[in-house]
Amino acid sequence: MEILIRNGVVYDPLNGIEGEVMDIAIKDGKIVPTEKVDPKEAYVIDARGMLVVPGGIDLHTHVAGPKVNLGRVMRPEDHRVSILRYIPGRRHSGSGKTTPSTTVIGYRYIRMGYTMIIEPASPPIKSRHTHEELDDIPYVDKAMLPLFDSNWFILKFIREDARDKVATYIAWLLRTVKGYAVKLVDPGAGEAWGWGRGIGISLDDEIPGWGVKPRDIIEYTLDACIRLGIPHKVHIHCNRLGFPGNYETTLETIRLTEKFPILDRPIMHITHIQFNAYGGETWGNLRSASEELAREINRNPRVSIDLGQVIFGTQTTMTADAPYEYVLYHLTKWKWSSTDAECECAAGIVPYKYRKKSYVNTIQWCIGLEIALLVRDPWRVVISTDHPNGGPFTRYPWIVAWLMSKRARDEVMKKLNERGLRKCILPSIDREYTWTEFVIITRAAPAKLLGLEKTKGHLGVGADADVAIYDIDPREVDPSRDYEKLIKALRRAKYVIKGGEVVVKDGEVTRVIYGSTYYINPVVSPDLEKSVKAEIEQWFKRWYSVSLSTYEVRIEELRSVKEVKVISRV
Amino acid sequence: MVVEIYVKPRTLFKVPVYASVLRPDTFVGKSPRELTDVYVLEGSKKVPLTELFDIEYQGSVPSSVEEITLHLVGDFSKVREICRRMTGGNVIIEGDVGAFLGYGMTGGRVIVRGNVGDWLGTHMCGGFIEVYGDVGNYVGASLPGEKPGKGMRGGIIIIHGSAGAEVGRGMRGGVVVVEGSSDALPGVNMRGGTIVIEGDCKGYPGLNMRDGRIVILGRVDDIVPTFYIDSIAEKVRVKELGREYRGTFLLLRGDAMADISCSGRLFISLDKNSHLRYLTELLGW
Ligand SMILES: [Zn+2]
Repeated sequence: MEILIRNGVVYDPLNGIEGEVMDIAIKDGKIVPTEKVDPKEAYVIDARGMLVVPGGIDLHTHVAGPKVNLGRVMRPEDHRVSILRYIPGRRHSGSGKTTPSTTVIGYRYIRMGYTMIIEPASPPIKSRHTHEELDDIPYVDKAMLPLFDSNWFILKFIREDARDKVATYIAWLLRTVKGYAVKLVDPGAGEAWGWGRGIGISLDDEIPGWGVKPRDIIEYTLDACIRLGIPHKVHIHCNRLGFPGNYETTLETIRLTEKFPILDRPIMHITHIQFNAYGGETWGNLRSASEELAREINRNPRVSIDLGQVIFGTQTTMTADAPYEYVLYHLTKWKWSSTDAECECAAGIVPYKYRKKSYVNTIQWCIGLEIALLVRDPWRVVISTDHPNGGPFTRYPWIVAWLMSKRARDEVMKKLNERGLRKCILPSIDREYTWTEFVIITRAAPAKLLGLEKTKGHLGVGADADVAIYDIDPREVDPSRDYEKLIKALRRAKYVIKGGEVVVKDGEVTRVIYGSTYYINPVVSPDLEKSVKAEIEQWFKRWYSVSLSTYEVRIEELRSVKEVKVISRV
Repeated sequence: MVVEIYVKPRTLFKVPVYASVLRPDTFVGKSPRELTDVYVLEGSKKVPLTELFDIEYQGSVPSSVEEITLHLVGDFSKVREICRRMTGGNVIIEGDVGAFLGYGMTGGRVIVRGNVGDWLGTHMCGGFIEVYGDVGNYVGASLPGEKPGKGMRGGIIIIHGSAGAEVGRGMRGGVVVVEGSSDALPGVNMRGGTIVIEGDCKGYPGLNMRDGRIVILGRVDDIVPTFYIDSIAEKVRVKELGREYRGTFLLLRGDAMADISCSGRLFISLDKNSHLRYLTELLGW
């Protein structure tokens, strides 16, 4: 299908385009020079006075896998409040606000103009389930990040100080379960939790039974990822998440990167940093430590972040940080699930309500925005709510508005806890994001961080034809004043084009298509791989409840696969 | 002035019908002709109320709910959510009714001369429901997934037949009386109010209860071990109904699992439950 987008106001930061009125031509799912498309034959979209940007990329959203599914089971009351009706030929029915069903996830993302999502925490042994669910989410491209934080092989190879084996194992596992990058959640806590410990373990606490420290896990896997040449290196949920005073642990984690060189893109992605930016000693004297963290991030170009912005209301927290969920359960006293994935990791789920009048929740809400506003380089910041931990992804338009408009922030702050606001610096921050910065943090930056900037996150010739068109004219609307208009436009895109097909028109889906699953295939030395695999086989027989042959997720099991091959130095 | 309104199903429904508009509030200030803009769901289809039901007025157009007596005559066993959020008036149902009768109702009287499906009086806040037949599960309950104490808040439900499982689940106030027997787990997640089961109970009353009381006059198969014996009671008064039950009751307190203060009370007839007699031995301690 040929498409011509006429006279739109284009923002494309990767190609240095900032609000130019121009045409974009699409042919065979790619963006092509405008002369390649015949305006008489093509489907022409008149985008006069509309914002034309690349499709959005969500770098961190828990949308698939066993823990997400358990969240759905645990929260029937969350599904009663939000129901999408069946429209024959266009969409299925579905439900769920913070834990939506698979199809609903696809509809809601594509309506907002998002065309790629990353499921950031999947136990390797449950990968098949994660992929099955991802395959069921329509429209968007996707990838998943397997968890390595308490993996017995990693712990074993670190104990043996076998750096090559760590790297080879990571390469083998990513290829075997079709993962895209290494995810570390509270390194070591999952394993310690198996011994009833691990609540708030710090970088230098020893993991029981292994003689390995969380610091080692981060350092060894980071080293391995750099040598493997994986584009998105460690994606880390820092230790002591959710505890007052944890910002010091986050600072130490950031400083771990200093022994590594500065590469073409950040080597450590600190996810939902809001939950890891708490000063003070107790919940009673909690304060925002965003200044300290932002200063360190501004100084150290090896680190990128996403926000983990909190949205007020009842959300569902779900994380592989099982000991923390145990703590949270004792604060909320409602529902709790805690699970262990053999030899690999653990997980917990607890519904949690963020209240405007709460001292702690007010500080949490401020921290996310503060960090986004204090970090000067937008190429290292990505929007997220850590869906569904901080809030549902459907609230991204509000976060954009809060970043682009001081007035929008002030409006919310009027209703917040005053004692909490005094512990924050948000009221004194005047910065407002520009249109270009908005497009960077939602499109270009995540594409770059994933190493997909050739095909995703921009509108240059050769890019995938993932385009979002919003009914708002950046030359006329001042988002700082008219933030309501901005929210309205971003919630429902006027048009969305995915893979060269028009899939959203006037904010409603038109037809169902499916995206691809991206996975990484690091090629390592065959001899090394052979010897590591022999060791894996032995351990598998001894410790796993499944056989190695059923562990692998084969390409033919997935709907559509895109392999990203990297040649490594291992 | 009294207005009698008769509603009869035109056909035997094959799919569930969601008719929350079948309550006195809908008919206030509306003549039969004005009912055409009132809709119900037949399966997933929206259809006018008058297409599915024959509606007949005896009297003039009512000006308040208190004037109305709504008669539902026929088989309503597939019709759900009747009297949802009803605020007053009288409803008399001659026949069987489906699920969610009286959901969230705040006032008025409902009398059913037939059986009722599940979820009778869910989220009920006030008013009176009397059922002459049997009732399904979850009487005066909270919906799945809700916090304990989100069930029935007030009002009275009297069931002359028997009831299913989880009577008064998550109940916070009001009274439920089952004159027949009940299935397992009455008063699970209870936070207040009174449940009386005059017949037998399949077991485990008051699991995870924090407050309120449950009276069981018949046999209980088993009780949860997190209740402890408090004393022997000679009578239990339910003042909302003006009823008093006399006999020898084991008064148990719990559930220790839900709350350390154990304010929930179980009154279990000792005469009908000889297998629980051993508990009286613990009273000497
Ligand atoms: Zn997360």
